Amino acid sequence: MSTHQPDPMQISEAELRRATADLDDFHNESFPAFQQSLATWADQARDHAQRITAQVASRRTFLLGSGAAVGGLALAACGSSKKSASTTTTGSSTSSGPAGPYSGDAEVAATAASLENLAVAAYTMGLQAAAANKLGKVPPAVATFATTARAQHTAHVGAFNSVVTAAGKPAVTKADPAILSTVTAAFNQVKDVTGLAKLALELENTAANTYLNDLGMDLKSSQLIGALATIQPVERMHVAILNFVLGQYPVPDTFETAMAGAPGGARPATDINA
Amino acid sequence: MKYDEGRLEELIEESQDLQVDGMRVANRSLDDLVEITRDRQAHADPDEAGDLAADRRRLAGTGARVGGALAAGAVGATALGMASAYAQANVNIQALQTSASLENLAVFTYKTALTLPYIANGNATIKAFAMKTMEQHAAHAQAFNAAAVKLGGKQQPNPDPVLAPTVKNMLPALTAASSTTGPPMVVKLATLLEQTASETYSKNCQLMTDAPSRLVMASVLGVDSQHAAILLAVAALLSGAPQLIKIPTDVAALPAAAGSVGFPDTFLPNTSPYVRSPQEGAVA
Repeated sequence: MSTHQPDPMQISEAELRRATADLDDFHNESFPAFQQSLATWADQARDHAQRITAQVASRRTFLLGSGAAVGGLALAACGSSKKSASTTTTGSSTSSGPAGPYSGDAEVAATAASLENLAVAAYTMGLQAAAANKLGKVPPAVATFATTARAQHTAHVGAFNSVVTAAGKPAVTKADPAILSTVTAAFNQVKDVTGLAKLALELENTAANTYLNDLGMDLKSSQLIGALATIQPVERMHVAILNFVLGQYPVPDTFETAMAGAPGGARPATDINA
Repeated sequence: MKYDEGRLEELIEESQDLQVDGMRVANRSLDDLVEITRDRQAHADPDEAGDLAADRRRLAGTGARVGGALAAGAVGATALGMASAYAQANVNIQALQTSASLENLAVFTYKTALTLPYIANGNATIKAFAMKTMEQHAAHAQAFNAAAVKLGGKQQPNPDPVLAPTVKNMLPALTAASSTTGPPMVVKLATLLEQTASETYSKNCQLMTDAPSRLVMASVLGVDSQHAAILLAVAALLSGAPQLIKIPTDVAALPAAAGSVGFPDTFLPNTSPYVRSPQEGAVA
C-alpha cells in the first residue's frame, strides 16, 4: 500500500447520482443475452404460476364448495405470505408502469437494484479517483478487482430491474436513497486504496446481507428468488477477496447472518421508498 | 514461505464469537422451518401433497434422474400413511439430507488432505484454511441434519453416495503426489467440492418454497461460495506466486488477475452438472 497521503476525494450526492444515471443506459444495452435468458426464466415462472393457480383453484373449489377467494389463495400455495402489500405479478412483461411507491416483491427487487446502483457508482468513482492519482499507487490486483466487480454489479442491476419491470414498475436508476448520504460522506473520507477497499467491503456486505435477509422473506416471484440466490453468493465472493486484500481472514463466519442494524448489515426493502 | 501465524490465529479466534451468533440465528431459522412444515403436514390433503411433491420433483430437474426411484417410492406411499409419506416425499427434508451429505464429503476430503505430508507440513496458511474450513463444514452438516430430523426425517451421516466414490478414487494419486504437484491437486478437488455445494444450495433456494428453508440454505451458501473464491485465488497463486499465499499478503505484489480470479461468474451458475439433486443424498 502507498504511504502517499493525497487529499481526500470530494464528491457530492449529485455527482454520485449522475454517475449512477449515466450507467443506466449501459446496463440496458450491454447484456442482451442475459436479458433474453431472464425473459425465458420469466416465461417459465409464469407458466408454473398459472399451472399452480389452476391446480389450487380446482382443489379449493372442491373442498370449499365454492370458487370464491380462489384467486387470492392461489400463489400462497407457492409460499405463504405474511405480507399484505405484495402486488408482484410474474406474468407481466411491461417495461414501464405507473411511478410511485414500490411494494411487495417489486419493492424488494427495487431496493436491491438501488444497492447495486450504489455499488456501481462507488466503484466508478473509486476508479476515477485512482486514475486521477488521488489514492496513491493502486496495486494492479485492486484495479482488476474494482473493474470486474463493477461490471458484475452492473449486470446485477439489470437482473433486479427485470423483476421490477415485470411487475409493471419503472426500472430503478438511482442509488439507495436511505444510505446515499452516508456512503457519500464515507467516500469523501477515503484517502487511499485501503480506505476504498474498506468502503467497498461494507457495500458488498450490505448487499449480500440484504439479499440473504430477502431470501428469508415470503417472496412470490421465482424470478426474484432466482436472482437473489445467484447474486448473493457472488457478493460474498467479492467480500472474501476484499477480506484477503485487507489482511483479514477471508471466511470468518460459519453461518452468514443478515446483521440488520449493524454496519454492513441488511437494508430493509422499504429503502427504495425512502 | 512467510506466514504471520499469530495474526491468523488471532483472526480465527475473533471469528469464533461471530460463529456463536451465526449458529444462534441459523437455529432460529431452523425452528421456523420446522414449525411451518409441521403446520403444512397437519393441514395437508392427499391431493395437495401429491401435487406438491410432483411439482417439486419437476422443478428439481436433474434430481429426478438420480433419485427418481426414491422419490417415486415416497409419492407412492402417500395413500398408505399421509404424514410419514409426505415427510418422505418432502423435498425440504431430502435437500437438507443431501446438503448434509455434501458437507460430510467436504469434511472427509479436508480431513484426508490434512494427513497428506505436503499439506500437513506445507504452506501454513493453506493448512490453517483447511482446518478452519473443515470445522465450518462439520457445523454445516450438523445444522442440516438437525433440520432434517426436526422435520421428521433421518440424519444423513454419510458423504454424498454419488460423489464419494469419485473422491475416494482420487486418493491414491493424491497420496503419491509430490510437494510440488500435490497442493494444486488438493486445491482443485476442494474447489470443485465447494462449487458443487454452492451451486446445489443456490438451486435449493429456488426449490424450497418455505422462506425459512431458503434462509438456512442461503446462510451456508454464502460461506461455501467464499471458500470457493479463496480456493480459486489460491490455485492461481500456487501456479505463479505461492509466496503470496499468506495473511496478510503483499497486495502490491499480487498479479492483476488475482483481483478477479476468485469470482469468475457474474451470476452463480446453478444449472451446471455440478448441481446435485435433492434426492441424491436423501435417507429413506
